[in-house]
Amino acid sequence: MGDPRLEAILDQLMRFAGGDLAFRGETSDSDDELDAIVVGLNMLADDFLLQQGRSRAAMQDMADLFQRAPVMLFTLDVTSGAVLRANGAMLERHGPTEPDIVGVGLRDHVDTSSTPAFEQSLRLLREGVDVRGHELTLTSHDGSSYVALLSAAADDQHQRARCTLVDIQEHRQMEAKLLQAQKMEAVGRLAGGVAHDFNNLLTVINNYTSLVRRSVPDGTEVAEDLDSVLEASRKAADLTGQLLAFSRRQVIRPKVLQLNELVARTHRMLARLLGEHIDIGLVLDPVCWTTRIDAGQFEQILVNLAVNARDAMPSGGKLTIETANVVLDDDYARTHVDVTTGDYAMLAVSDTGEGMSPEVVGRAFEPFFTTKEVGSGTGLGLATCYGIVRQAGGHIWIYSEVGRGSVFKIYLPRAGQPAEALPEPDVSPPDDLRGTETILLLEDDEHVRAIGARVLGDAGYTVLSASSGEQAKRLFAEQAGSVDLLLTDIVLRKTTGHEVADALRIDAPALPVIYCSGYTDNSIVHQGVLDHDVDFLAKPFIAADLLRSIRTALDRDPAS
Amino acid sequence: MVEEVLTPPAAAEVIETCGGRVWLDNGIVHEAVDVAHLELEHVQCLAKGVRALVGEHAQALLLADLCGVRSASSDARAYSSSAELRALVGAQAFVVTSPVTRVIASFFVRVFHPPFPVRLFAGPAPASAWLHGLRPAMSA
Repeated sequence: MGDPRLEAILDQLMRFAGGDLAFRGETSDSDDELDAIVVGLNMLADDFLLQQGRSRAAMQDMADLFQRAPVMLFTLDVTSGAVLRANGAMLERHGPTEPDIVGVGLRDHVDTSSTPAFEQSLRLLREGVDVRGHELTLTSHDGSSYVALLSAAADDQHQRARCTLVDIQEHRQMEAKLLQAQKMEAVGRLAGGVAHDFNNLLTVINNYTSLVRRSVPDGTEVAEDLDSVLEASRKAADLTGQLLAFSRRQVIRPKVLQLNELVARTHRMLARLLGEHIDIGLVLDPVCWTTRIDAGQFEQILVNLAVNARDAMPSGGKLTIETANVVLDDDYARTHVDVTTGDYAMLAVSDTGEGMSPEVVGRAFEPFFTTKEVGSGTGLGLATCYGIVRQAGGHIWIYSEVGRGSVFKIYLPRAGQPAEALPEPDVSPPDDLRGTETILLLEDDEHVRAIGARVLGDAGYTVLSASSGEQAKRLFAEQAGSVDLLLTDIVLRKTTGHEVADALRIDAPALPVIYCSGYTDNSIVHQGVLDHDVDFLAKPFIAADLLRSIRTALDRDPAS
Repeated sequence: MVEEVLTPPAAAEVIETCGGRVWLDNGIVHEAVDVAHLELEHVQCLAKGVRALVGEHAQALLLADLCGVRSASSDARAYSSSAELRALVGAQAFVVTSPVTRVIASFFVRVFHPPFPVRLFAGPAPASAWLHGLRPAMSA
């Protein structure tokens, strides 16, 4: 037997060698080198266990990270292309169990269109070159295809590679939707600009034709020709109106309304429009939230969707109009362009018609896109719906299957206020639209100014015509209080009608003002919403509209 | 209780902690550890005492007497490289007077690599001299 303290130290070492790291040697009170060895061994064991625990925790973290990562992670044999190990996301897509993918060549899951790209990736890895974002189309275990980016780095022996697959299918779809939205925005701006110029032209065409028509006896060939011109002009005005709606530049008077009331009001008209071969079903949520929208525009949406549905059901079918309260959450917003999360009042219009292919659905809201025969549709119906919904801060979505029908869902932001009374139709116009008052007419389009002055002059008014804000102010000052009303275009070259009206009202606070425009402008119209208590005349106008507006404004009690 | 090498001067403010006593003498914080088996809580108590002596933001030059210590847990030693101690200690000298304390102090230094200068000394005088030599660098 040797020194018992040395024997104890040897025993401790043997235990450690056998894996018993929990054992601790005891020191004597001598505080000598042997005690120091025991203390050192004890601390080594402590530190080893501490580091071992940390390593295990770190490895567990890495294993969890590998298993639970939302991207597909796997290792690959770069010679055979076989998957050696796969994480949860990979199994979810290409499993569902490990034997379905582990040991299997990844090329079995790669779409044939991507085989060359995949083989190129393997070749690079065998040469020790990292692969960065190679785009592949793969087939999931459920048979669906998706696009993903493969990135991989081979080990030092160029035998195995650590790989990631990032699914970009949703991203691609969002990208396409975003591009489509940008295209719609650009087309909308273009359409709005064209509509503005057209409205001025149509005002001139319409009113001069009306003037000439008045001087021609009814029943003559010339009268019929002129009536045809007027009819064409009216249709052109409808078209520009739809273009403005699409481009979100239509002047609107939104109110807090409940969709059910609007649907009920439009229902009878829809029944006439659709015909007896189409049943209309209403599924209305009785406690549907209110929303802020222009009633006329909402009716336009319903009519456009109903007409579309009718055309998709030539042999009859069923149109269902549904309202409901819907909360659009983060998940929905993430997968839909330009959607804000929150509460929405939803209108769904569904039909049992022919349905649309995905390609048609993708272009359905484009202006002038139509699947109808030439001459049967303008291609502006759905574009108009799109513009109106967007102007109201809402979102429109289509679901359609060929042969099964279509569903249009419109989400309008919840107003959170009680519904206002529905706007009544315009009050009856004054019988006598003539007058003798003095009208200051400010319009920078020469032809519109001329026809405006002509119509007003023919109706007995004294007209002071101005082509600029400066000229209008000068004329107003020269007339020293004899001007009874200002009729002004909103959009002028160097100023706005609103600024001129403000300037004149310094001297004549009660001066009635009628604003006139072919499209929205932010001086009195904010994102298309008209200010309260503003008299507005939309271009293109006909003589009766102009005279009615003038008379109504002049006869209004200033105190009202 | 264990026999200490360091003893505070009569005028020094001594803070008693669960791990031993600490006091300030001539710009150096002295730490007399009076437990045989040093655990994490002892080291934390001592660190609080040092912080109380040097104030909220200053770093201490620390002279530690480990003479009575017979073992130190891994947690206690790992604390030496913690962020808390890194902010508190500018440099540390250990006074080790036996093979056991030399091993313990060596484990402090070699395994956990404190993020400040550390040296082992056989007595307090050379330890103090080394720390004093670092003062210009500390105050620079």
